[in-house]
Amino acid sequence: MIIVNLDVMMAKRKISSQELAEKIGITQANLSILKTGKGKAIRFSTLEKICEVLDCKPGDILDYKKEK
Amino acid sequence: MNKLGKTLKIVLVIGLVILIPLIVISPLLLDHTSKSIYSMFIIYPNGLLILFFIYEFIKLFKSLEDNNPFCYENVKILKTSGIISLVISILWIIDLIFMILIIHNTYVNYIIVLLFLSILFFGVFIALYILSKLFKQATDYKIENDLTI
Repeated sequence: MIIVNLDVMMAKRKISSQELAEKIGITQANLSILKTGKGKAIRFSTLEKICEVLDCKPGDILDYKKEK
Repeated sequence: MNKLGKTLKIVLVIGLVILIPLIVISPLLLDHTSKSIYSMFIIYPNGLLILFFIYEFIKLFKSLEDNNPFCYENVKILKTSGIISLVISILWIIDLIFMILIIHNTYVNYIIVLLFLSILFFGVFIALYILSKLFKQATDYKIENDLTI
């Protein structure tokens, strides 16, 4: 399964959810869906903006773990 | 609430006001020796079921008003209403068989009306069942879309 490590990256960059949501251009509610792993899919455009704002690669945010 | 929803509510209240006293009073008024009294057991449950039908649709209109018609509750409402109309259709068929075999009432008009009613409600059942499947798929797509960020 795919794990979203967005909160780890946000802590590293010391950015709040509100600030990040504003910079990406999505609502805080949607960002929290993404952070809590409830989201079913992510658009490339959103991923691109997150990487741009956090200055990281998609692999820093997303991780893959084998389901047991 | 929109106009149709309001009208349905009024219909529900009128129906309840008329039907419930009828169920209580009519066994006392009818001729107990007559065989046709048995068809009462078909007609009153039908009335109650149709009122339940209306009640379900009022819920549907409420969700339309909240601008969120594609949710799993509506799928359930449509499915329940479909099953209700199937039961109504079966009840009419039972009434038809009853009329022919036990009461020996073979008026062609009566039989045609009963057949028409049962076919009509069976058609409603099929339509509602398909609609519920349609709503389920639409809801799946909507949730998928909502959770794509």
